Amino acid sequence: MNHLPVLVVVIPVAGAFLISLVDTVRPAFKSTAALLVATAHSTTLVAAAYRGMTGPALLYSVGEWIAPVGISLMVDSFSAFFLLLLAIGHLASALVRIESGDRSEWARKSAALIALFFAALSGITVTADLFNLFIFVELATVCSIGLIARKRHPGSAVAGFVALMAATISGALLLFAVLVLYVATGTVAMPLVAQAAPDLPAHLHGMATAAIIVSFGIKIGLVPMHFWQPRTYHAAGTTVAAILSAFGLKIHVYALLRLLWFPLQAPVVLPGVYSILLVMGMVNILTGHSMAMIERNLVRMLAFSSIAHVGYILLGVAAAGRIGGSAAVYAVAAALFHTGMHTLMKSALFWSGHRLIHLSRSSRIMDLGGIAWRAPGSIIAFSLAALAIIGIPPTGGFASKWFVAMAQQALLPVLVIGAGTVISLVYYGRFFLIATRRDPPDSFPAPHPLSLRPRLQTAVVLALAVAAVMAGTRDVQVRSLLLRAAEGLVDQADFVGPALIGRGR
Amino acid sequence: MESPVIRVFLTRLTAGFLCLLLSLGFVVLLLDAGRHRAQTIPTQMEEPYTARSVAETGSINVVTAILMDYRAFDTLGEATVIFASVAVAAAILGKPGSPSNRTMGLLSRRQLSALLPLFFIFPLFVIFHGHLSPGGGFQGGVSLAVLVILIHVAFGDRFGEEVIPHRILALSEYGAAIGLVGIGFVGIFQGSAYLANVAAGFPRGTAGTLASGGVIPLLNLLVGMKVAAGLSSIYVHLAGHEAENVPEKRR
Amino acid sequence: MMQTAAYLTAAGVFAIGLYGMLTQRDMIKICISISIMDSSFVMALVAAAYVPGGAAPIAGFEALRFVDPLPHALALTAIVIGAGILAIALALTVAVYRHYGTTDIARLFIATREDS
Repeated sequence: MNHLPVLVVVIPVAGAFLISLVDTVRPAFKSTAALLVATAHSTTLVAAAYRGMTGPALLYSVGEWIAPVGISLMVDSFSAFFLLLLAIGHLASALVRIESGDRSEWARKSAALIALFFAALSGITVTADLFNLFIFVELATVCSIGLIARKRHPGSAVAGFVALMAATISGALLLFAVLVLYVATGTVAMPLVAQAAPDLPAHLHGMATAAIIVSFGIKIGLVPMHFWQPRTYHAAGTTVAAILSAFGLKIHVYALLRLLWFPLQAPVVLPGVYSILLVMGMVNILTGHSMAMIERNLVRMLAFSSIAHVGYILLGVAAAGRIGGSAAVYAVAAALFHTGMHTLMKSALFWSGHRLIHLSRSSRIMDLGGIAWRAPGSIIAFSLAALAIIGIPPTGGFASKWFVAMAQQALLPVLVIGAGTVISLVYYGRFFLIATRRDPPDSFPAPHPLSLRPRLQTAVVLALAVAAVMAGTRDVQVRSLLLRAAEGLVDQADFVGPALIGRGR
Repeated sequence: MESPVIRVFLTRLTAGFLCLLLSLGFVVLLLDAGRHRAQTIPTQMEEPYTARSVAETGSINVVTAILMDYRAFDTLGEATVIFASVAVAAAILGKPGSPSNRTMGLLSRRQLSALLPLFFIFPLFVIFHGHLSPGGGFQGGVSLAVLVILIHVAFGDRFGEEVIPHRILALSEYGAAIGLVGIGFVGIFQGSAYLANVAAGFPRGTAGTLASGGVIPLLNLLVGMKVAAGLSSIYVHLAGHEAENVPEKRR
Repeated sequence: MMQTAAYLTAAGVFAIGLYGMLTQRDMIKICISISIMDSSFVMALVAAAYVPGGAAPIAGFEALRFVDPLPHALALTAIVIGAGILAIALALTVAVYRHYGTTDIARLFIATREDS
């Protein structure tokens, strides 16, 4: 048996325990331990993703108990794509977060919390059990609230509480959906629920789907449920906001897609839900971009931009669900392309923005005038990532938006995508003009004493931004990877098949 | 013109109405789901656990067999949630400082010091008999944490800190957590799966005796330790401040 | 019949918890509401496990039928997760109270708006 599916969860969990132990016994080695854990976890993730992409789906039974009684884990090409994103995420956030001098309790715990957060995200990605999914979603919530509520910043405790209330409602709805599915089908294993889903009464199926969409809609910021996100990202600060937006949000999108396609069988049983998702996607794009345009704070602007880009992903997803059949693979691939691109672009934007905010000690856009001349590396990375996220032709952001637009069957979503591009050009362009103003104020305040390592951070950020730009010119290689990943979601034959073999045992 | 009183009343009325509607909808859905299951699944093969758990795990308490063997991965996940929330509480509140030294009256303290050793019997019984009777690591661990809290409340936080230092709590929590994750690897090294019990060669023992159930009693012990240490340190973090004595600011 | 009554009780408790979360402004009261909502899910899980005439799922008992043990295990997990979330909510409340001297969430919104 190949142990990779369980190792991607267990290694960072054990790593987080070890980091805490090292921090209590020998605090000096904490950063080294965190980096080691991140490296080990990323290596495992890449190995698991490689196996998931190249071979048939990897199925793992924890404790050798097969689906009806035990918990199955599973890595197929679709989850492999998200495992790759997590591998980038854990390593990059460990590199960015290497701190010097900060001895506050929050800084001490945050290394372990980041490892646990990525463990929870990996767990969401690999699990094939509904209740296990619920546990990992809650673990991710707990860790993210710990990361949000920094001690140095008292307002962040309020933002953390708001996020906690939103997460409680989201968790209650998810638990309720799991309970209904369990009572109706007698199992919480995804393959077996998938088998029983077509026979469910329509109202049961519909309400369970609705509960799951609202539950994950709160997590990913679908428009009426997005209220907590900008406040939270602003309070969390750029380093953490990048982790939440670029990686946490994407894995919750993954969970929503996996649940819709696999246990609920929505493309077959309930195709109407995709029309709702299409409308929600368009609303998200327009609201997110227009709120970002009137926003005067850099972090909140980037947060609203995240909400808009969830809309692009949803447009691709909705198109896939409405087409159905093999053509859906292309639409899912487009949605995945945008997911990957947004991960790279948004982490680059937040982390390069971190350096700018750190230098001027304010996140208000007007206070950042002329800051470009003090951090040229960061502003180059920021501009590259901004070009990509606006969708200027040779970049990866353009290619992914183009594919999402090509997948649409109606004109209106294409027009919305175009309008969103124009609006984002306005607000990113405005920020660029302010940041590169020639007349910088005479004296910037002294930088914050708890300085991060700027060179390492700039290098990481530049690498992410360049990757986001280059992906557009390498689209042949990228496309084969994406199509393989999309097949994992749409053609579940290799997912359902092996999982059901164990049923008779 | 609406007065604010009417507006608040109307808001609450709408909220209450919505809540009632939602929860009644939940009841209807759950009942329908139960009816659907009764129609589709014959009653003989209803649930797979009770018939097989004794033979497969050696634990006669089926709920413990599920928690610690069939779905032990869930248990690892929830132990991690407790671990994470201890870390989060510590991160938010910082080091427990300026503990209050309020104690209970002399009579209660004298009584407690005689009774406390007896109080420890129950949680230990619950933990060690988890695979035989209702109970297990979580329940026993919580009862142990209650005893730690009782020491703090009765004898004052300063005395509690002297008897059970916070560092010891943290170290035993990390140790139990690492042990819990580590035991899972035994399954991998034995050529079975992660967290495997009998399949990894742990002895099943005679069902119904104390030494049965393979690795289940050990997992119960570790989970109990971890939960007890975790919940106690959450209490220490929450209670170790005098801030609660400051009256609320009014406008 | 028994099961319907149990579901109705759980639903009533859930409605109380949700109502409290939606209408209360005090953070401690919101924490209490969160806790009440968690309990309602435990009740619903136990009700879902009910089998008429079923005994507790311990193999030593002489009984014809046993209740479904899986929801009991899930309920235990849900309790622990709820406790973890509640601990964080209380910790946030303490932190907020220490800094702002109030636990009124509406007043805190006004107080934190100036930070941004």
